[in-house]
Amino acid sequence: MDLFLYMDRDTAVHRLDPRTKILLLLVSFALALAFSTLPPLGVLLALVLLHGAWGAVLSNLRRIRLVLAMIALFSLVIWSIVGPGKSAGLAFSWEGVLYGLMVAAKTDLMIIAGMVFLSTTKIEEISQGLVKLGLPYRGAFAFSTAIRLVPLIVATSATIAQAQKSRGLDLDAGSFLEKIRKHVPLVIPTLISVIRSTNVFSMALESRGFGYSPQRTNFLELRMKGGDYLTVAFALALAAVGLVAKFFPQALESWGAILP
Amino acid sequence: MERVRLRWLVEGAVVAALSVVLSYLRLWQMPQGGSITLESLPLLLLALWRGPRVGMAAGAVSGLLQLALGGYVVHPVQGVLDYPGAFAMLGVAGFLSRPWWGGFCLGTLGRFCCHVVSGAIFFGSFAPEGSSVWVYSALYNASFTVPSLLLNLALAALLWPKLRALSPSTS
Repeated sequence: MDLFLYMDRDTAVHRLDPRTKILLLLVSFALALAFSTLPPLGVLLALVLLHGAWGAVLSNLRRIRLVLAMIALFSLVIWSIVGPGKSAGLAFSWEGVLYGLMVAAKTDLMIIAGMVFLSTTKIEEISQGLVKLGLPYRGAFAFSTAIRLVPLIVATSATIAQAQKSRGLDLDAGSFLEKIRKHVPLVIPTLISVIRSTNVFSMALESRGFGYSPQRTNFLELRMKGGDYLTVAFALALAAVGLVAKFFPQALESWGAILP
Repeated sequence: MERVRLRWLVEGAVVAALSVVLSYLRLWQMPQGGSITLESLPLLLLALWRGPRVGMAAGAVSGLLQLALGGYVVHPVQGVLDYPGAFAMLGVAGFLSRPWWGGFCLGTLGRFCCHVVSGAIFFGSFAPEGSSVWVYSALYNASFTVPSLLLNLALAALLWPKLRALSPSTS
């Protein structure tokens, strides 16, 4: 089973510079955070899905559908109960339902935007993009290594859990404290495996002379192209319109009066 | 020295990844964000083993990763306070490595303070009428950080003899 989200396709979105894709991600996050009503969030979600469809990576939605559904359901239920506008005697309110829907849309939107970004951008491109944006190389390296290691640790712990279960470990039986105690044979081998991997990883990096020369060369050379500049212009224009609509709605109304 | 720094860098990245993995195993999720998980455990252990600087850096990376992989954000500053800021504060556990549980409490207190500030500023509107936003935020955040701390302490107490043998300082 492939635990990485990246999908190797030859599309215009894949060919974009990682800095452009980071900007698109930040703009989608900023606009999602700026609005607290469903219509603009719906438009933004449609744009993010269009971006994903252009990159031919929407099939990855199937892999995160459970997370998206759980967040939506949880948000709807919780906010319906504890949300605003509840009148006496009622267990939930219509305002709470709408608020829950808005929070679900906002959170799911940001997760889908992140999924599209990780599905269309290689980890080494993310790392290189962050360095070009001014992040210290070591910080970018730690970040990209951590992203790369998350699926590997999940796979290792799944293998260890299967191995222990095949030896008769029953995680479902017993009281709460017994269940916690039964996790020890899972946690210790996972930790040992992780610590061992840090040894191997450090030796591999050291043997390649990591960090010994301040003048670093890169296999991957990033260069902004025409498509990148167009996308950056579009993203900035979208962010500007969104922020004006949010903070100066009267400005847009006056433009609406001028336009036919 | 370069060799040591390289090893710390790799350990920080690995622990941050482990913390992200553990963050998905949620025992309870709060409505305005926050959950009872074991995500703090590897970060607290790293801070005790390698000191506050490495612990805070790994915490910040872990927080950024969790933010990127679907954080609960209503404002950019709240995002920074509740993710990279709060997780970086777990690293202060490194200032109190003996007794180990004291470090756990100090690190969790650091994280708790970040959440309380964020909660009071950005989620204060949800506080019941007439009650202080700071008290509301402290109670709300204590409702998941205290059980998380107890869970981490319980698991670390069970694992401690084996973990001490794994500790880089004793090996």
